[in-house]
Amino acid sequence: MTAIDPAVLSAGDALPELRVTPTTVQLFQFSAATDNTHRIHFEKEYAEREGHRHVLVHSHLLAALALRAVTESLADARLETFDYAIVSSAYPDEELVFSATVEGRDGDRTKLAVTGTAPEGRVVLRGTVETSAG
Amino acid sequence: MSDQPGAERTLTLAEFADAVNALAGERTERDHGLVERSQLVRFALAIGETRAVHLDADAARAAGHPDVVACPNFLASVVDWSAGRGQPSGAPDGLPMTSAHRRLGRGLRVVGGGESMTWRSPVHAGEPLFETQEILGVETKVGRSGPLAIVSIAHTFHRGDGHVYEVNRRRHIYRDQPEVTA
Repeated sequence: MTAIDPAVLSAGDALPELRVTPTTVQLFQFSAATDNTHRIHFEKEYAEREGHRHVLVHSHLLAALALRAVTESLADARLETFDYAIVSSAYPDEELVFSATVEGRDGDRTKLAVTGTAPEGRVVLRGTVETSAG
Repeated sequence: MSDQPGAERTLTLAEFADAVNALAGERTERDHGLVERSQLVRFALAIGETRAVHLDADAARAAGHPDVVACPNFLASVVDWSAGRGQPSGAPDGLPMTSAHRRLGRGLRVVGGGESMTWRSPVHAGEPLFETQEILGVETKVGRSGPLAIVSIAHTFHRGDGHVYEVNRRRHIYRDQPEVTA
């Protein structure tokens, strides 16, 4: 992907979306890579006993994907801050769409609103990323 | 050890909130040793990262880094740095009991609620890693699924010599177990 220069962006501009469908295998890989033994991420029966309808996509995996939606376009920018909230649960085998829209620019700083959305428009993550020229 | 999610709960949600709030300001310092390249690459692959500086040491060096660069939220994502823990935690949900809020919240449900992250400098394979954790406090409220307690923890990842990699404020959401219907 060709890097976008943040200097050409204006408020309201949207970066290319990132579309990802996490699988249970990816969830397992993420659990292993982060030494996460929380059963709600890999054991469906246990997750259901805690009231979930399937195993859950990790909040940090959602955050990583939201950041990819920024860094894959603004490849030369430096990440400064990221503030996000998990709004609802995300489950494997659902396509998640991560979008990033420029909220404003101040000097070499760019502020973007990021959103992760599951099918039927269910928002799973909402946050703000700030980048600089690096 | 019971396999029922809430069977080993020792505190109610309200008692839990009070107990964690009583620990506000308490700091723990941990030495996680050296950051391993293989762990950085495994994380990058797990999230579908394609930028070469996160996957290949030669590519990272060609870009001016000393070694593979950690993905942005790698440090924040690792749940337990104690290599070779090996043994189950004993908690029904499988989480390690390495933090005070986890020990006090044993038997309650917990999920990640979000985080505020500030990056200071990238971390690379081979660099020393220390972590300071501080309990900031607990907010209780009633959400869509009932009462919840939001535990805020500050994590500062640093090199041990004053050089800070990043500062995060993480929110853990604790809830009671769901009612079991016959």
